[in-house]
Amino acid sequence: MTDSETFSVVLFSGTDDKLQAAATLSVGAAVMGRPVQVFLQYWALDAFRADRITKDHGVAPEAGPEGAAALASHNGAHWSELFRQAADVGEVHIHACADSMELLHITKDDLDPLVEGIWGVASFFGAADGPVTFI
Amino acid sequence: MPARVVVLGGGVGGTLVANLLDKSLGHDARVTVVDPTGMHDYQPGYLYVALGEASGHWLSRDERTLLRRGVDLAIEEAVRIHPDAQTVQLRSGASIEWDYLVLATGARLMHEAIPGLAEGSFGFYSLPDAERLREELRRFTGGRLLVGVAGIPYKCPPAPVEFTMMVEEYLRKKDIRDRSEVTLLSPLNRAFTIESASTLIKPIMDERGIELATFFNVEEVDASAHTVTSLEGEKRDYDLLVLVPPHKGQQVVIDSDLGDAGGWLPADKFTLQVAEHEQIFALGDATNLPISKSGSTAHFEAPVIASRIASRIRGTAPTEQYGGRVMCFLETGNGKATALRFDYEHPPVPPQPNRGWHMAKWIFNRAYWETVPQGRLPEHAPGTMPKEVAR
Amino acid sequence: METTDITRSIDARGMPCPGPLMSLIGAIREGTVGDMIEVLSSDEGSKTDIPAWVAKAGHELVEVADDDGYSHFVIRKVR
Repeated sequence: MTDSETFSVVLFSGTDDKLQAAATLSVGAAVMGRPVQVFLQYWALDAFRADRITKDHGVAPEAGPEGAAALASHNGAHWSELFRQAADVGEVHIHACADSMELLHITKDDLDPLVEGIWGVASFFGAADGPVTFI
Repeated sequence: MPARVVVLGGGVGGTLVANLLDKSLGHDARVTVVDPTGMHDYQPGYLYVALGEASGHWLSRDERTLLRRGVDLAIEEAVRIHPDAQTVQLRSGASIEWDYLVLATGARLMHEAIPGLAEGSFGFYSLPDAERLREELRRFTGGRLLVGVAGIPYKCPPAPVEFTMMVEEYLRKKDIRDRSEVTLLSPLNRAFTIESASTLIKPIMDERGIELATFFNVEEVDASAHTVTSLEGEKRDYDLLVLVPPHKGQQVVIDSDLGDAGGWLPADKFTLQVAEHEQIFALGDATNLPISKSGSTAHFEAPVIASRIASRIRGTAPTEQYGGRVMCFLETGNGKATALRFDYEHPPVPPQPNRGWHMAKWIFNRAYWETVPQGRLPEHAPGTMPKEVAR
Repeated sequence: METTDITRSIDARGMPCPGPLMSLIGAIREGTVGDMIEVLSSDEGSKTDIPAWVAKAGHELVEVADDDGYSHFVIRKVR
């Protein structure tokens, strides 16, 4: 029928609202048959540390107290669970940016098993055949 | 001289075959879809209408808007198929000639085949039925709610299970769960056709106090006594009865002597050719294959038929075969769902119900109109085959 | 068993849904009294499921045989 265009995401932000959005988009792309390539940088990478992945990562400033309350009362799956489930729905790959690992002094062992491996920027662009979304 | 391909039925199977043929053959074929209403219905949505979660207006579209420009649409009822003359006779009296014929005529509901069904029960297998059930549920103040099956085969084996799980949640939200008993009347000796899925579902049913009655194939309904009787000889009382009605193949198939006792078309499990008729193919609900009557079945069968016909038209040997691929979502209530993915070689390995799959179903349902009938999804979608059985 | 005796043959091998038993029930419901229905199943559970339903529904299990990786059942619609 058609070839599937990869959904490539540079996931930079580390607040729960943006991580939730990224996870939801990944589920959508996966069910529509598009391979998902997530590249974790900076604060998103930090949020994927095994010892804090499900802890409170706050919300973006524009959410305000009402936005934060809305997200807190939302009875859905945690974004980390959604990423895990997305990997069963379709093809989902999550890699950590090597430079961000170095900057934040993070090692592979520190990261949740959701993170498949460590890539340099060049590897990510090798896998990202198409537009890149920045979150 | 372009080859003439006639497709009877403008549902998911017929629409997709027509579009794929036009895409692949262009001017080498003249493709015509013949459909009695010219409207394309998205049936998976009826479940949500019945439960008051969606309205019906997004569930129906003009078939013309889903077909490529090069495909003709004839809004007519086919009344007779003539395999030897290679024509289809229409209700209007006109006749259409074909070199290849695709039968995507689906299944019709036969409420009248079960005594008392129309008077004594509700359903959600058509939009009017779903709306009627929605209103009845709104009026329901508690009691014995039974969900059962009044004929086999039927479309979408997950649907009665999904409805049962979701209506139990509905009753809790309406605060009448403690005044109600919810029972699934299964035709089998377990909750669902697929054993591994039954094993996941049964504990959830137990946890929510949903009763499972087994080997209950509905034979008769007594609307005044409020009882439902099985062919296995059991009788049960109900306050609200929700039934899957009997299904049958279309009358044109029966009148053309092409169908079996149920009006279903004998088709080859791999090539989808109808019996010995080398120019006739069938897909979706209309076949007599002992496989799921599911939209996804038609969706995965369509490219096989399109490819085989295209090969024949080009004069090459057809190679594509249908491998039995089916992909069904199964809602289990409380915002969770599981998925059933299998083919002739790989049994299903359903995951524990979770919110990710419920979200995936929701997204896929809403993306349907822009993707599935036009052949815009990659071949393996929705989703992929599970990792452990991926080839 | 002569093949000519079979009214309807269902090859449900490798087809988990609706499954051999469900397909048999459909053939019984759509059929006529006296029909001989043959079911081929690669599902282990059929060996207990099919006889159990046939007995409960009052039909006759005429034959059960094991072949190369599948089971072969013949059922007569009695009522």
